[in-house]
Amino acid sequence: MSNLFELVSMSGFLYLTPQMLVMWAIAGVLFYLAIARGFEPLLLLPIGFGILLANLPLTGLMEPGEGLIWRFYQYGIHWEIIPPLIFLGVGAMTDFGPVLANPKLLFLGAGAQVGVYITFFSAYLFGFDLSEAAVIGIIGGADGPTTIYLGAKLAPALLGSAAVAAYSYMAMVPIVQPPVMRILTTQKERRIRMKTLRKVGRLEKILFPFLAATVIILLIPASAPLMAMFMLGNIFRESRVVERLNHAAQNELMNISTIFLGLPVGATMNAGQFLRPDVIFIFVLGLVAFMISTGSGVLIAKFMNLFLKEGQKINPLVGAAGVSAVPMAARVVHAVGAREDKQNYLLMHAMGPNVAGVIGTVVAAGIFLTLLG
Amino acid sequence: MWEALQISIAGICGVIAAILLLYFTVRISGYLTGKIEKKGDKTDE
Repeated sequence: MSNLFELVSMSGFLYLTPQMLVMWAIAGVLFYLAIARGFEPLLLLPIGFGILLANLPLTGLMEPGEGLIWRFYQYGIHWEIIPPLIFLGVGAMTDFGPVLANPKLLFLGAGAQVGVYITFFSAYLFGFDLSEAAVIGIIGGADGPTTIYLGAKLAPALLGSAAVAAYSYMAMVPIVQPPVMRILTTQKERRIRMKTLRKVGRLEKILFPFLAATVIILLIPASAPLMAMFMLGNIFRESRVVERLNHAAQNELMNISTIFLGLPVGATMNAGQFLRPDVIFIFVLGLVAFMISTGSGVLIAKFMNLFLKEGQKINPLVGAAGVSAVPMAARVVHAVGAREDKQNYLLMHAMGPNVAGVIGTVVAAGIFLTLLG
Repeated sequence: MWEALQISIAGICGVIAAILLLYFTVRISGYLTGKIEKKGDKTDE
């Protein structure tokens, strides 16, 4: 009989708190977004499940030194293994052709990082410390793995909420970006047709990852883990001599890494850490960061047009793709442009700033690590 | 506040410097590979 009482007393039901139920509801929202709406399901589904598990009492899954998911977190994220592996896969999937064909588009990737720093400064004014403000600011880059990488290093307590904010806004690109793009452009600007991109040679594509890794890492050494893996993945792709590695990086490795990224990130969101007033600020400031990044990309494109000849001008909508969110942001640019002129194919032009935005966000994260790490 | 402002300015300058460096690298490598590929085409002919 005493064993039965002990079993009942050790049951999780007795230790449930209302806060845990609120976190279940949040996990439920992520499940809904992922399964019913198809918003970033690869990440939101494991993150949601991680949230659910972290808010089940007595499991010990996140118990330091013992818990299964704690080990995934510690050795996968805290030890900086998983985000660089994701970057290896992203590099293998990235075609830098549009950037190489029109290198001016690189500047739009830089322009979109303005939102990161404006939000960093704003978050600091709202009372977050410098490290926390950096993690909130980087949400504006709309790059999940970079947000997680920086969050794990600078502000682990904010990791879960910052990651969920980043992936949620990436999923909501088609809702968040178009109004900003329309407000900042005229109909005439949205109808600008860009010159067809030239064909980029194989040698140029092979050289790019070697050169880009070297110059960026020399300038910002703290960006090395992400930049190195990003460019290594791209070398696998463009060299065309390691097709097995290229395939593995794009598929098996990427999928496995995604599982072990999402689950522990979600599991960092226990009720005690997540249900705080400042988390609402993280989501609001993250959204502001994302909108400013979108707007600054568009404005930089308009600024560049002041110096470009007729026929060379950039459709300013393309600037909005300077936030990372590959390839969703580029698709949204194309869709907004096509609404004004159905024959205007902006997708490939928008892929340029889109991949440049990934590089820009990694550089921005590297700068934060250099100055605050 | 001063420190946050300094980091913001340094950050924006750092990103611009990185992209400028990348821009010129891409332009130079594009120019050189273009020359090499043209030379290769002539040799083939």
